[in-house]
Amino acid sequence: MGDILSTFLFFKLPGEALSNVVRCMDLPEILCLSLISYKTQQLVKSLNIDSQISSIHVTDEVVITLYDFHHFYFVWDYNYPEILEVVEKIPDENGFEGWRNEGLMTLTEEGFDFGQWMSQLQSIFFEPEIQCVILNNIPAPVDAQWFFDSITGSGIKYLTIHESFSGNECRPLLPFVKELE
Amino acid sequence: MSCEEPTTSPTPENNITVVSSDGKEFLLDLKLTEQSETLARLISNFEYDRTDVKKDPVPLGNITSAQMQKIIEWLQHHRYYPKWEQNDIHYSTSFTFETWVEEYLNIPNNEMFELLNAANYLNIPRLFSTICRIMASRITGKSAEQIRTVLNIKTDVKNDVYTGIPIQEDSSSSEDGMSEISLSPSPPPI
Repeated sequence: MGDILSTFLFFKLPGEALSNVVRCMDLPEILCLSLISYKTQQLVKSLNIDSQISSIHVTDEVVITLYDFHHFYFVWDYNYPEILEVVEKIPDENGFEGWRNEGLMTLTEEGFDFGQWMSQLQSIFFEPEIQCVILNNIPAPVDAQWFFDSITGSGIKYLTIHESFSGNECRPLLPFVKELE
Repeated sequence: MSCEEPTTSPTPENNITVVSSDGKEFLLDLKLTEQSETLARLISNFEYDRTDVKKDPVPLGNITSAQMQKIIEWLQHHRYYPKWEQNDIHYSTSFTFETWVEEYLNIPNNEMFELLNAANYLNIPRLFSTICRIMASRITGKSAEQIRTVLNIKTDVKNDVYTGIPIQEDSSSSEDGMSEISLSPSPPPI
């Protein structure tokens, strides 16, 4: 397929072609594109991608799932804050969730932490509200307050807190939550 | 999908002449021009589909003869295809193309760029959409840095997501030498 090494003068394309090429990309590439520069971030924003973060499941790692992009989810590890792993769910022959391609893509952004990854993801979606946050546990060595602070400010529709968390620990999030379980 | 059927030779009644930017003339069957919304509109406006109307050559601005040759190849291959209907291309992950298309677009990115501009200029939606998807497929699985290289994107001022303060600065040459393709056919005299 052609000479991939020869460059494509992306921003010299007419506007419609520019946005069309991006709309043909899948989410990991769109996220990568938004990381490249301020201009690409604005381009991605301008597409008003009609999706949102459907859930953030907090355990020994943080799993982020999305509406409309059911074939991907993201995994963030407390030990490697600059990395966001993209995991692909590949349906089996019956169309049900099959095996997981865990080595699909690893996004690395210098200086990023969980809060910045969240901001980056939310910035590319038309709907920045997080549908659901499920707090199971945070590893003992991790400062829970730091973690909560990193997602404080995001609108959260449902928050589910398991017994291991006290109300005080989660208090910073509460003003941004519509429903609590 | 294969829609190959015997082609008919253009006759003076059912063709127009288009002229590339480097002055080369191409005889184009009116049937083929139906795939180009730009040409189809022009032909309709000037009633070039009527046999009693004198058809002057149509200059095609910045489209070179090499690009025109490539486009005619596309139009001929898709001559008997049903009219293109825009599907919802949003978020599609399918990058499967027929073998002919893969071979046709097995060209360097810089040529692909020119062809996409030409498809946009002539408003050939099937070609336009296909090139967009091919381009997207070429960066599938690539890192931000690799995408930056392939799409030739320069770093620019990026504001901190929290403070709005610029956190890096570099040159952005993205507007330099912006290649514009304008619809040149100044309406030919009838």
